[in-house]
Amino acid sequence: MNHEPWSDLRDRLIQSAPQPTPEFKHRLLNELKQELDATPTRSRLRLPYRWILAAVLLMIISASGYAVHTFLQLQPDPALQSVYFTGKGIPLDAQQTLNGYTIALQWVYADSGQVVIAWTLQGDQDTIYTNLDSHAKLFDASGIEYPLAVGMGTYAASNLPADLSQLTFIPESITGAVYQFQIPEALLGSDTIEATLQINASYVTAARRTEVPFTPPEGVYDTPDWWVAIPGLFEFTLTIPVEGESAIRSWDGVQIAQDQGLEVRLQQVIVTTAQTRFTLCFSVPDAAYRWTLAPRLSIQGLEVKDAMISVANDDQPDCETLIYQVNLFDQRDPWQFEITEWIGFGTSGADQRRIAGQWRFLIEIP
Amino acid sequence: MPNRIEPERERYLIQHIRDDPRCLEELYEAYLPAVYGYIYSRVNHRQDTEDLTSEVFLKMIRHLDQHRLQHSFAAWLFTIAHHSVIDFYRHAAKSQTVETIPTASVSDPFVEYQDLYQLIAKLPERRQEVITLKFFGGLRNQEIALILKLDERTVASHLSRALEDLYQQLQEG
Repeated sequence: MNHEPWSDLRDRLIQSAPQPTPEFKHRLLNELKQELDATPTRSRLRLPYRWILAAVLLMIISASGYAVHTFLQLQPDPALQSVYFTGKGIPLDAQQTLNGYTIALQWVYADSGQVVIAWTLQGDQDTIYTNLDSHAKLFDASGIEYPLAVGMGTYAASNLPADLSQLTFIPESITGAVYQFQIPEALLGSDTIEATLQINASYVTAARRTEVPFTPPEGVYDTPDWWVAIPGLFEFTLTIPVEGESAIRSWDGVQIAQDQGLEVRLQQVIVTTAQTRFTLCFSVPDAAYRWTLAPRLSIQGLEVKDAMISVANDDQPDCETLIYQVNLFDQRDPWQFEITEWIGFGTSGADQRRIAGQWRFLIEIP
Repeated sequence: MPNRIEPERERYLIQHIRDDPRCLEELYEAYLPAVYGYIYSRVNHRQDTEDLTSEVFLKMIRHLDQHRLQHSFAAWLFTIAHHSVIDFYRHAAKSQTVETIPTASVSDPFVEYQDLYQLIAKLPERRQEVITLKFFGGLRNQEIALILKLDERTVASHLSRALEDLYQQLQEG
């Protein structure tokens, strides 16, 4: 196998690392020394008081249900965590073996907005997995696909979210993933989900660990020994009961907001216990850029933070779905939803256009 | 890639930074190039890089007591750097109605590597972060995972794919 191209690239990247000028280096060091002299040493006696303050703050936060809610949002992927911690996942006894590899579905969970499926992969006992790359598709009998929710905790949907992998303590000879799918609009409101799950997977073995730090595969087209693609497609037919009532609140009264000569149309809001989806449409100001909208949602003057993911709408390129992965189902007061910025991505990461403004919607969801 | 200090030595330097100026100098020597390189790769502008790098190290001095010695100092420091870059773009977004984010000028150093930086800038955002933290910041995958709040295996996967993409683009170019 040819090691050279990757080595060259790694070397070039390291060589290209920008370096500070000697003048800047000298100047900043002097500033830091002055800052160090000016910064008082914190006495350890203050530590208990800080803990007391933290405890008081926690009590204040606990006094408000909504504040607790916001506090919890700071945790990665509250939707998945709540599934795990409340033990709502339904254990499954479904497994399939292909070519010496067994995929076992561990637990599933569905509510009015999402389907979560946890599964593990195991080959022979000597295989030590260091990375799993898997792809899954969930679809109903008529072919309607459940979109994969790529967001916090399920980034790229190829690995166990860190928190879950730490909690489940799976041994090294087993790997797995937790997938989170959205329920497509056409299937919202069902009491039961009848669907087919297809999985294909490849993985990296422990042989990779002999090179520390991680180095990439040698050559683009060579498949290294430690990279194993599992032949075959694993397929499961699932019947998953939907947790609780299939409660949905929705709003379809189109509102239009204008600012900076640009128009945003709020088309639809769907609120379930698992998530809230806003569908927005807009006319792009410059077709050379791929545009996304930065939102802010406030209820009773409190901003809902840190739980938002954006999903491009494949059917309507000028529309975007913004999803808050948090339970706002019981928030009955009027909502203020606004777009604070349009962000356009050009061909390079540094090539961005940003348009600040205020496109505000006041909505009451029945 | 910057040389890393042994963890034991690093803990000693942090504990004695106020007693002995050489401790600050040693930490600074070890981390300045890495932090500077990472920030430059994210903002691509020398003056902004110097401003942000100063901000990061000043914050380091002011908040050093918040760092837990048993945890990675590099991950802690680069988390500050990562957030400073995010704040920089937020501020830039507020102060510019319609304007492109600054790109490198010919007066900047490292113009010879602009082609490589441009290729990196074409990568998806997450891969840009991973590759710059890895090669410019000299961080371990575990530390990158902590900063970006990703699974370590996801970091490895992003890194592998980023290098593959870069390699392919260089071959095509």
